[in-house]
Amino acid sequence: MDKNETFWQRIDRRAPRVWRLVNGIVSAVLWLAVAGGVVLHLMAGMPRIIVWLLAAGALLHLVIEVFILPERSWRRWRYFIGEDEIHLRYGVLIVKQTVIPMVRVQHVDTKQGPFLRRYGLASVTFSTAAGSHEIPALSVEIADEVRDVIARLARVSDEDV
Amino acid sequence: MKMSEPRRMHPIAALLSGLRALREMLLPLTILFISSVFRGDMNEGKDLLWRLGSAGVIVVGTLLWGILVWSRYRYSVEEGELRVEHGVLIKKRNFIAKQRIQTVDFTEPLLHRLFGVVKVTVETAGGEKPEAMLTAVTREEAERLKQELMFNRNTNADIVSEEEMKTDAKVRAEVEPDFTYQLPVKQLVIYGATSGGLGVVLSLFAAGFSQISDVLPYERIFAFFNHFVISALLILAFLVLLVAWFLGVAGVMLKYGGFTLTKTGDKLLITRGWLERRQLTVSINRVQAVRITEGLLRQPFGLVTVQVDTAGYGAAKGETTVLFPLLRRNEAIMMIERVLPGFCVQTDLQPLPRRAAGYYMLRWVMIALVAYLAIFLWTTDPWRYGIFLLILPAVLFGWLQYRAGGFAIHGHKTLVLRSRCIARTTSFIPRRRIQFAYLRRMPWQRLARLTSYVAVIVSGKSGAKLAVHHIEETDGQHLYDWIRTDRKREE
Repeated sequence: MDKNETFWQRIDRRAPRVWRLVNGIVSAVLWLAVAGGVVLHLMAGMPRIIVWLLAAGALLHLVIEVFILPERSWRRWRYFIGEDEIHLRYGVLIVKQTVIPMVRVQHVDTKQGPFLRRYGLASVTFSTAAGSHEIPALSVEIADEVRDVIARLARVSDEDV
Repeated sequence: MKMSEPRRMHPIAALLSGLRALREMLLPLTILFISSVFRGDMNEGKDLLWRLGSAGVIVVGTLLWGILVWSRYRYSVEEGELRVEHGVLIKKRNFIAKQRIQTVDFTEPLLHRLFGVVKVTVETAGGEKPEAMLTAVTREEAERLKQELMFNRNTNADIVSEEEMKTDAKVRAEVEPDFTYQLPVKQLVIYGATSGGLGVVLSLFAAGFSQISDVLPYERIFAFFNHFVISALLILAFLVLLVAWFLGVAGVMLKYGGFTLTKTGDKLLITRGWLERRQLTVSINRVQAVRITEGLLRQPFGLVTVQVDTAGYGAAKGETTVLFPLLRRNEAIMMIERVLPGFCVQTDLQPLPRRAAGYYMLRWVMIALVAYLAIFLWTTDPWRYGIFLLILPAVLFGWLQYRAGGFAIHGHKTLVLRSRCIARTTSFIPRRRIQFAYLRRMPWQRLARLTSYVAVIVSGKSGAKLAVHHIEETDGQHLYDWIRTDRKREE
């Protein structure tokens, strides 16, 4: 992998912003639940410990998922579309590096949810007979290019599983 | 009769689908009946008559429904397709091209065997459920259908007359299978007895414990318990385990009784089961990997089970098909060679690095420690310190898992991985069957320059992961790079 270090591509710099936004919404919901817990504690006498546990969970989620992980995860994410295979490397604590031979790729797609669209981003999803993979958050132009390249390179395969 | 003429199933199918409808209605009917009984005045004769009468009407109705379903179900083989037409209220037509058909399998539940009919399931590569199912046809008809769908793909069924069909069938029947294996009854008994690994261990453990129980000063430790009650409980537990084990053995023997494997051309045919007889077909070119499994109880005796992962077959994720229930370790490779030539290779595996041992053992020790912590929080009995002795099995098991681990690359074709979950499993994976592979590094693995390697293949309707944990990073990289499709070398 090291000899190819120069070929590895990063995903879009705006990716952490999207993740932060999505996780921030989840966090908001969690804090609403905490608020609900406080109300239940005051009105219905729900034990205080439950409220504290809820708050601790929400705080942990906020710190990890909103402040720490998006940036770290972006920094680790690499992909590399070779002539004969695709490589992906990601994961903050557990680092996973995956190789998918081009001849195994059955289907490739770009996808754009509402959050990705807001930032002009898209993700590339490609599937093999045993499961699918995703390169998240590329700019729309690069995503289209990556999709076309994979589609072109994968077409040579006519092998049955 | 020509295959191309639309035909009905065996009339028994009417009864079977009627019975099935009745069974589905049984629960609501029973509830209705019982609730009406509880409402009272059951003893009025007229009321009883009315009730029984209505029950009778329902039974007759469902049976009539079964006949209707049966009479509307027609199938034929026409223009290279299996055509099925069915449905009482909504008419459905299902045309399946012969080329798409992967397997034509037979099942004979007990009821079917009484009437001498079989259930036929037709499956294609994709799809979640069987493409077509004939609930009951005669055995000869089923065999004929199978021949027609699986082996007679190029001839046009329309032109073949009945006479020709008959002679054809005869000729085909005379074609000897390339290979036949039958599981001897003795092996079946051993297979059953060693199948419930954990159950046997537990019952032996309980047996030993009930012996010790006479020696231990129970009165002092459990002052609040009666010695007699404890002994009785232990004996009872032992008996329950014994019975459970025995039932397990009986179940396995019924399932694998009369196990026969034959190879004809590129198809493997497996027939098994004493009560419910099943026949399944495995296309050799769809086999993705071979696994040789050595159960905890079988390994000391040098006994193994051979299983295969097949694409598009089997209901659940990673469900494997048993090719040989019980073989000696040293004959396994040879036997597989006769059924799946060139699939398995005899090669020395590279063991895991020594420093990996600690990781395997540490994992189980951690789990054990968590369990102890829970016990310590839960009880204050002085007896709890004794539980620390159980850390030894945790270490031992980690050691066994470490010892089992190994891997090898055989030339450019085959990857061999060996690991232990409970049973020790050696997997043989052709390179071109690996859909994708990955290296996974945990933070603590990175410190020691170790990595886990996982190869993912197709198994059943989705994927199966075959892994070896805690190998040298350089070796992991080597396995990782090996997957790369080097077109020049492949052509």
